[in-house]
Amino acid sequence: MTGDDRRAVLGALTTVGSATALVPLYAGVPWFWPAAATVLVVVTAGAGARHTRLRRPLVLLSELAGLLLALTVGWARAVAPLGFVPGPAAVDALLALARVGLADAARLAAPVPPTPGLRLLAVGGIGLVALAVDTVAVTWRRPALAGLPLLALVAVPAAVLPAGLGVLPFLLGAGGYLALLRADERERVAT
Amino acid sequence: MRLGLAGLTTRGWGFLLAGAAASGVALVVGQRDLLRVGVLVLALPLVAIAVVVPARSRLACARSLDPPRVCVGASTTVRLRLTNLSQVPTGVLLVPDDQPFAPAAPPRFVVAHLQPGETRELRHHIRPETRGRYPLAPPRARIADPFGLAELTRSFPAPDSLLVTPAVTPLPAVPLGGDWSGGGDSRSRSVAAAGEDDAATRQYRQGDDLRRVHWRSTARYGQLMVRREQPWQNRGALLLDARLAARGGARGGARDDTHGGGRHDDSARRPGGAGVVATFEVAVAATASIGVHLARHGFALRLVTDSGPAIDEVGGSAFEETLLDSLAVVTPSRGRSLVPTVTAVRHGDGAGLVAAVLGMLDLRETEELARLRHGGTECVAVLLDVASWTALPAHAAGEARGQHRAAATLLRGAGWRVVELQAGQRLADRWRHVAVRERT
Repeated sequence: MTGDDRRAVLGALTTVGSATALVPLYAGVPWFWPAAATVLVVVTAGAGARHTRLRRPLVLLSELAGLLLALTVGWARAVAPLGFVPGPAAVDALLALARVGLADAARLAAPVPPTPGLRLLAVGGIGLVALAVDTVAVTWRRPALAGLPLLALVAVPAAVLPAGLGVLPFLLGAGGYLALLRADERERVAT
Repeated sequence: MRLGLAGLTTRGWGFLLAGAAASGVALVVGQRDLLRVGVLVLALPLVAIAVVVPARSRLACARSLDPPRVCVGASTTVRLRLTNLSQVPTGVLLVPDDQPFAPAAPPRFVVAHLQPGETRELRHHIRPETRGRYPLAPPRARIADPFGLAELTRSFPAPDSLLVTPAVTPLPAVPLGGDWSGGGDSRSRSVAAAGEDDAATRQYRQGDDLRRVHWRSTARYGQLMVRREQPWQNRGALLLDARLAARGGARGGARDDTHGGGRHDDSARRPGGAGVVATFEVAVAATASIGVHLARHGFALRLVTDSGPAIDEVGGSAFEETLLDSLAVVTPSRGRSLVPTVTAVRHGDGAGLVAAVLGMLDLRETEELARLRHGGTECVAVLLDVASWTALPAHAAGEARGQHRAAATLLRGAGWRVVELQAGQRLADRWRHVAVRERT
């Protein structure tokens, strides 16, 4: 396990920890485990690409591919070749579903029922944040900047929920972020 | 506080500003969650400063060199002893010890969590490549918080210096014939001069211990005389021709910027610069090797050179040390002529042996040298073929080669034992030619 791997794991844990902020938005949490699995796929794709010494943009591309693949398996299995290849039909299906989800989000008040469209938004959003955190903190080694995508993730419920986030998501997110900073600093000193 | 803010890293400043901005916005908008994040981000760098600033002053560092003098190519151990004087453990300390003369991979020690009162020893080796006296850079420690928000560098004044002596190559023991083992005014003459007394004497020289004054001889000669220590020792003179002019370097106006090692850049830019330095270093190393060789064979030697003060005769291992110390820092001289140096050899106490390491000589200098050999004096010259080191223009190279050959012939004719040394040859291999005294 290299230092990159360690930081990738910390980044993933931090993302999932911050994602707990979304819990009060939904009535029920059927999106949580799919989101965690998607984060795992994205981070694994990135770590694999780094281990084969791909260039940084290619690492980013492989993480994007991982995210797309995970979403296809989750929501467009019927139209995708072999059930997981994100072909044009699958991408179209995902986009259509996302539009439905956005329409639902605009129509409904929190807590929203976990319709397929709204679940796709949650899982896709968390997957994108995980991708951003990994790219910034691990691929480009700027862990301090990883705070920005995390902040964007918690900003949605913070803006929508009248009661605010509560302490637990803040503690999980902040703790993970500090651990990420610390791991990076320790490694910077040691090399 | 100003000191503290100066210790913030870029990341620390970023946190401070972002935290302040986020908190400000959160207060205006009334967003409790954002305020929480803003306060955390704002407080982190301030806490980091509060941790780092006191930690800095509660750290002590001592350095020792073992050994403090080392010969070229050998290694010395640098020990840093870092002590935590505070009541709390330190964070991660970064201790670099980079020395300007040892550029290869300077060590960076990471010292994690030094407990209160704990001392940790850090050790590394340096292997200097060029002789000289090097002041060591003060040891430093970088103290940082765990998140990389603040860091301060503390340097500990430690006026150490490392003395790098020239490399000494062992020379084969070569019988020199004649009275190699009993040259000069050793036993017989000294004892004759001092009469029945078992203390041989010589004239008082500045620096002699007054307790060594031999009053009876003083009364007899009307001059202050001192007892000579170890009167049974053979005595000799070691001559180092340190002139830049003798190495084909810029004649006359040369600056002695080749202090020890590491600062040869300037001279290397002059025509034939690198060769000038190379021949000088070869001459110094040869002088060191011959001096140590002779001292180990029981000679009390005197070092005479046109650069820096001479070393008076000291017997045995003490001489070795003194010789190497002074050869460690000897610099090329600006003198044009070797004649004053040769005169200094002649005017010294009569020596039974003269060993000279010579560069380019003109006729007058060669004749002066040739005259050093008289009576039982044994004279050995290591004559450097300067043209083989230095990139001289064709006509100058020819001239230098001619001078070299003429000097060798003339010295041999006068009964010197001449060892010619060219670039790429090792003194240890050439030294056996000392045994042959050719008369041409």
